Amino acid sequence: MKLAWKELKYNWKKYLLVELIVILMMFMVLFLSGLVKGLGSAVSSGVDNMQAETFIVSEDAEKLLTVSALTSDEFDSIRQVYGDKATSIDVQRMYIQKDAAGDKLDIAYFAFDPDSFLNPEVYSGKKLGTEANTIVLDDDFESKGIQVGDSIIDSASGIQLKVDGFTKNAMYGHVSVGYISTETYTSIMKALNPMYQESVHAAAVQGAPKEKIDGTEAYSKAEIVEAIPGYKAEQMTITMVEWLLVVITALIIGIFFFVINLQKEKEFGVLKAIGTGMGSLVRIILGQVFLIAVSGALLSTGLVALMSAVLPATMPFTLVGSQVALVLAAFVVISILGSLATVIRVAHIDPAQIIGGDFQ
Amino acid sequence: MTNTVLNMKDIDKSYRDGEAQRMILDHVNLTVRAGEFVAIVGPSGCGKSTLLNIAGMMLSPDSGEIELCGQVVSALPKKKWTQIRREMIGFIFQNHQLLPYLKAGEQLSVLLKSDRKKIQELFSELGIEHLMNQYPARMSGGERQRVAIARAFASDAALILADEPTASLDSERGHHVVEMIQMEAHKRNKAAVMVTHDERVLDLADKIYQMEDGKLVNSR
Repeated sequence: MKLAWKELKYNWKKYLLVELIVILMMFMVLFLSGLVKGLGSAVSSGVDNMQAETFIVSEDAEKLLTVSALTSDEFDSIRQVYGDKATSIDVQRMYIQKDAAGDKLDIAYFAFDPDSFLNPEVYSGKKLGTEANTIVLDDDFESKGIQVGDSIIDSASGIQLKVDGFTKNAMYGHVSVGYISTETYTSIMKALNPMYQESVHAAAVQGAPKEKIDGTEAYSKAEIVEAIPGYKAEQMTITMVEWLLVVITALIIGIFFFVINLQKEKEFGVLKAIGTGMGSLVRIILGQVFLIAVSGALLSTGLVALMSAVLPATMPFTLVGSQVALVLAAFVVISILGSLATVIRVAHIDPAQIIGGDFQ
Repeated sequence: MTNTVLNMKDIDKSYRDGEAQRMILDHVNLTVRAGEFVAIVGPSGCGKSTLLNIAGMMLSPDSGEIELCGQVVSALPKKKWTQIRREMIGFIFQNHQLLPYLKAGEQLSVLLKSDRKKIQELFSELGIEHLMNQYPARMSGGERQRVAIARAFASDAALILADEPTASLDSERGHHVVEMIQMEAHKRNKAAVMVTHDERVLDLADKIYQMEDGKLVNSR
């Protein structure tokens, strides 16, 4: 091990180059990792952050909250089974404007009873109350110049909504969420369609599903999130690119070490000739790879953490500790596996070639 | 001066040379005692390096027996060879073969775990104390070869094998380096075998063998 370190130190320029490449590649990997999570939460955080574990939708809804429609009979039976642990939720994509002349902004209304467990915490202003025509918005709207106390307009109905507060991480299918009461929601829908029949999209339930209620289907939060249009496709694509990069980076280390150690064949021959066992040689090689891989992983993590601190809030970027740790651990393991090619090569070096040249 | 360190009996070795089998070593016998400095000379390709490889436990003979300090080592499995090289044999190679990333002292302390006192002693005997913390790249050829000599003698090896130790040196320095090997071999009572084609250093050897066509002939 001492030998491994001394060699790294002596040839530091060569290894620094390798290290730089590792850091940059891992930086890219972690950046993608952050993007996967960030984009994922841009699609699903509105659902993720709901204080519910189970969602009950109508059988034909294909797990989509926006498509589901429960009859009042069905909802009543749900309430009978779950009591206060179940509440109605309406999800509807619409447009709002800052003022009559303003641009239309996408919004996903999440409508529920403000007294229920679904009502989210706010970080500025106050929580959604029972007062009619009030709204709590995702902080994304704040960066578009909307402030607490402003009145925004629901484009379709023309109803004015007073902004009560802002909450964080509330997105649904890349659209920022606005939380309103079921009452407000009904009045918007009635303004659009005088024939509107009061009904709810789905029910959010705290805890695991119990008995099945006819015409409905209960799903876990994860299943509902996966069904959100675009979620799976995005996650799969970026995750694949991320892991591909992890493997490529690890292989690059492996190849670098292979080439570097090709130049050291004579040194390995000498070491073998003077009686260094293969075990020690393996430790030297793997020790160096391990050191380069681990330090590269740690440094790139630091870089990414720094960068995520300065990224604008609108950029969908979220670093999740466990995800980062998984990627880094996999990277180190694959690097070491990749360097086994070098080990095999070194194992085949014949110390006899160091002495003389009668043959060859 | 009576105990035999290296005893090679009836060593045969041949290589495939194109279609033909070429006999490199033909029933070679060699005995070296502790404190004895033996030189083997001969033209290149005569088989002297092969002999050294076999004596150094890096190549197996086709037939014959090798005894090291009374132990028949040629019968041991190859796995044991590394350990025998480490414990019983010191090597001095052509072109020093020091590791470029270790300082002179570290060539002994890191590689062979020699203690400081022994390193100091060897370095001062060889007149290279001032090089202790130098990298090989900053030494002259003669200095490097002297560090290599120190490395060979640093382990408690009974047998020292030197392969063309003067190859990259001018005659004066070459002679001086071989003087060092002779001095250490005598002082530490070690058996030393040197393979060389440099006739100018033969005056230092206790015994000289001539190698020709695979046969070893005692010439002094």
